[in-house]
Amino acid sequence: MTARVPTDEQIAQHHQHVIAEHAERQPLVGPWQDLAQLTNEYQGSEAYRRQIHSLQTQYRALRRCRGDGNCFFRAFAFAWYEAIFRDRAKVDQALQTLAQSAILLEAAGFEPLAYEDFLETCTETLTTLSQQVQEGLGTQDAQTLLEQLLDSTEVSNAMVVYLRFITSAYLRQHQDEYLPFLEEATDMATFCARYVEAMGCESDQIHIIALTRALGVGLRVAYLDGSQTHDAATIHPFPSADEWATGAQFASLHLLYRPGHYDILYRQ
Amino acid sequence: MHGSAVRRLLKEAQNYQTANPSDCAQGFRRLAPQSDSDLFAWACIIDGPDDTGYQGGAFQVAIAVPDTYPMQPPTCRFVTPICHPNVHPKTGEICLDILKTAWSPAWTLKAVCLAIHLLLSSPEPSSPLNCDAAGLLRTGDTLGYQSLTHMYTQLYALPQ
Repeated sequence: MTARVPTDEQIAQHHQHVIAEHAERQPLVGPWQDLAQLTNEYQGSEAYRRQIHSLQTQYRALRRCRGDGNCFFRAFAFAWYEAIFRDRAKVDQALQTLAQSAILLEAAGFEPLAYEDFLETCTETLTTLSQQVQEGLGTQDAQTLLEQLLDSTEVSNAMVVYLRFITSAYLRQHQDEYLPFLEEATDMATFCARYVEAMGCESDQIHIIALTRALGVGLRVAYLDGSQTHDAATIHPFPSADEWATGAQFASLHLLYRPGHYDILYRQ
Repeated sequence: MHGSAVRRLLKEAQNYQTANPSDCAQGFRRLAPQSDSDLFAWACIIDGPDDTGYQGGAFQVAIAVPDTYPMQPPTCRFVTPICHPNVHPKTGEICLDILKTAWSPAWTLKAVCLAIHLLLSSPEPSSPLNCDAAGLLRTGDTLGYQSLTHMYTQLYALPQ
């Protein structure tokens, strides 16, 4: 008699179910929190507490994102729009970048039918936010509107999908450069379909580099890993230190990375 | 996500309806919702690829679209009986990675139909739902496989 072994599909389904059940208890993008609250999570770990303490010299707050495998893209989407939506010139530049991204997607073989709804949601959301600000919406109300829009499943997921598509299109268009770094697949199309475009698939450095290059948006990621040897949390610039040095026009975003998860950080 | 799925499916329905007939000569036909009242239940006819036991056959496939589409894949099954290593002989369930674990939201229902058409000429005997058909292929009995699939096609899939 052979034991009844679950199929790959059943295992994948169960895995998804466990993640979904856990994730749904969390908002997609949570409220602003003092960074000191993070130390409460690490009562038993001196190494983590030391690193958080070092982070506090530069950062004052964080905003938690749902841990559903989309956290990098979700955190990026929120932090990006939050950084620019009050500034008309930056909004116009971002809208132009979004319009140009459609050309990148089409060149990479995406069907307009498959991406135009998501692009439209990204564009409309930013336009709505910007218009409300131009019409004199107060700072606090504008912030609330941003949170409401980007915590709604429809808008937030559409932005996550579209940022995934941009990342995928960029990698496909620059595959000679990135192919040597793939561990999970031997060709770029397979890698992109399975590990970039698919919802819930976690992001690695390659995703971050591609997305920040494609959009021309600079990002700093603070790594909190509980390392015994580094008291200070390491901060990595993306796409690269060189591009940061020359890219004065960058909108700069800040994220916190803990093994397997991204949240948004706010500077002092 | 219901609203965005409806919007997307309406667009796809309109797109396929107005498509140039020559666009459809890609291995499938009549990709459309089964009725006007339910946008989430689709169907299409997959044409048997030339030089296979399915040649000349027209296979109806039912496509159930979830309200999370396109984040999640549609569920497809053959309504017309078919003998294929990756199709369950009783339920018509299709074992195709892009419809399960390897789905990408960048795909459309048209892409799904193309993939099913391709599966007919490129079976994967290593992940069988129909062990008899897979067994013939695995043991290298292509003649036996050809005649078995051809017989099923003649019995069930000839256009009326």
